[in-house]
Amino acid sequence: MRKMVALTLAAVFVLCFVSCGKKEETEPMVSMYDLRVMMLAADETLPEMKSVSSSDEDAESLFGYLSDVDYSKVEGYFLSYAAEGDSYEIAVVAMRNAGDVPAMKESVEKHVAGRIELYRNYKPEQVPRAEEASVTVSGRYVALVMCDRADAVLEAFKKGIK
Amino acid sequence: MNKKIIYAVVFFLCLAVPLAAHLIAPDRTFSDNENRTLAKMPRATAKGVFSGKFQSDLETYLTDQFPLRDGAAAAVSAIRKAAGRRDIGGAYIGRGGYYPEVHREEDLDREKYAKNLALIKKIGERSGAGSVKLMLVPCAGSVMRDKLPLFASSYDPESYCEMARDALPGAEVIDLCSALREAGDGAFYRTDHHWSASGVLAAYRALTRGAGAYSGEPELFSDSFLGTTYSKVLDPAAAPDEVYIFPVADSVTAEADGREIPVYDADAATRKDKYTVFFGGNYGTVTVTGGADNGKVAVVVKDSFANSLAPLLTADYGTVILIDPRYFAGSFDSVTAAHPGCDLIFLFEISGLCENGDLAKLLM
Repeated sequence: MRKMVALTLAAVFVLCFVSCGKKEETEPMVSMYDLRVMMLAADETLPEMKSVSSSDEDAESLFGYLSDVDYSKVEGYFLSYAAEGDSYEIAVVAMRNAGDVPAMKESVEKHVAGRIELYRNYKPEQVPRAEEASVTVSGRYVALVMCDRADAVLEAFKKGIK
Repeated sequence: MNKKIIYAVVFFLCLAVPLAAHLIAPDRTFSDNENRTLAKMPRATAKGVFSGKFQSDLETYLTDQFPLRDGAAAAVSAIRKAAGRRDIGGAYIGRGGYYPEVHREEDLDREKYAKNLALIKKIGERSGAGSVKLMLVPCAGSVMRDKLPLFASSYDPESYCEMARDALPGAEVIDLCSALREAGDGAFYRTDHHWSASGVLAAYRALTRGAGAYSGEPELFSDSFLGTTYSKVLDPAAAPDEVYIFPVADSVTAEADGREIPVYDADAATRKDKYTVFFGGNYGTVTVTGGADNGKVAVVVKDSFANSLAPLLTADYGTVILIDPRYFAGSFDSVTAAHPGCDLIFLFEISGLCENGDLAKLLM
């Protein structure tokens, strides 16, 4: 009897480890194309914007402009930016693993700081908008919003990733 | 009791006087010494205060607008120098009146450098250029090691050139290390991180293999240049540099971002940064035309080092297009598509290429 109880307890103990090690299921990534369309449509004051994304042939190289995080940790992204080089940038990065989100957020914030410094020396009139840029995290998504109607674009982001 | 009152008054004045000076003095917009725009008073918004951004920006503003900031920085430099420090603010107090920038091997990001080389390879392959050349400029400290203070170090430029040759088998990597060493002590300014006229000429000869068409004699533009590295050390013993320019044909004109600019900006003589004589500074795209009557085009993707080289190139090319990725907006594909078969030249100082995050824009 005591042996049975001991064996049962040991089995339960082992099963607890198994359940702890079970990989968390990740929801499928939303379409970066759809998300981009939704977010850009939320601010009708945007100038002519160009876009690059994880669907592009040189996706990994292009990603280097936004972040120096290892691209293998990224499931998908898009980056939209003003064609004339003004301080309008909207980007979303979906990480494969939620644990890599803080590093990605920090990297995007570093990118924004670099843009502010650049504009300060080259196009000072663009600095106020760049300084109001927000870098937001939701789940495994990191969003950069640098535009005049940032609240509306962020709202579209939150709706789009649900 | 009187002593206590005196101490209290002195302590109060030490706090009150700088604060009053801060409030009374108008805000400065630009620092000549640091060659950058200074922070303005940030706007207080609820969002900014709760996120902590306002407080951080306020700290930056107070630091930037501190009264007698330049004088205080100079005093700190003098104290450090007197204490035996030879690395001040990112520049060495070197020998022979030189102030080379500090670029140690451990400060450079080889991974980023390798990524940038891969980008250059892609950009070159996509460009349709007739030839692709890479000019990697070593810093002054890596060329003139005898000018470094004792025990100071600088990165090994040859190893970076070797990496470039391995990564870009289809491109010509120009050996500037040997060329600049042969140019001797005058290859770089003493008080600025850029190369001098002597260094530019050596680089031009290396690029053209001694067969370049430029034959002009340099002319003195200014003999009172105290550049970027002087601004880091603020050493009163620093001797100013001479800036020479290379005359170009009267037919040569330049355009930047849609408007005409001078090839040599005479107003730079009244500015602290005399190196801005070359085109008046940095632009995203500068198109120089009216050079050699041969229809040849050079597209130069560059940092500020190429600004002083470009005038010489007008003797070999009818059109020279300078692209600075930091400020570039538009389509690089359109630039190269308009000039198929051009000579595509990448020119960067090595440490800059270890941190440049803008080359990817040329693939956008």
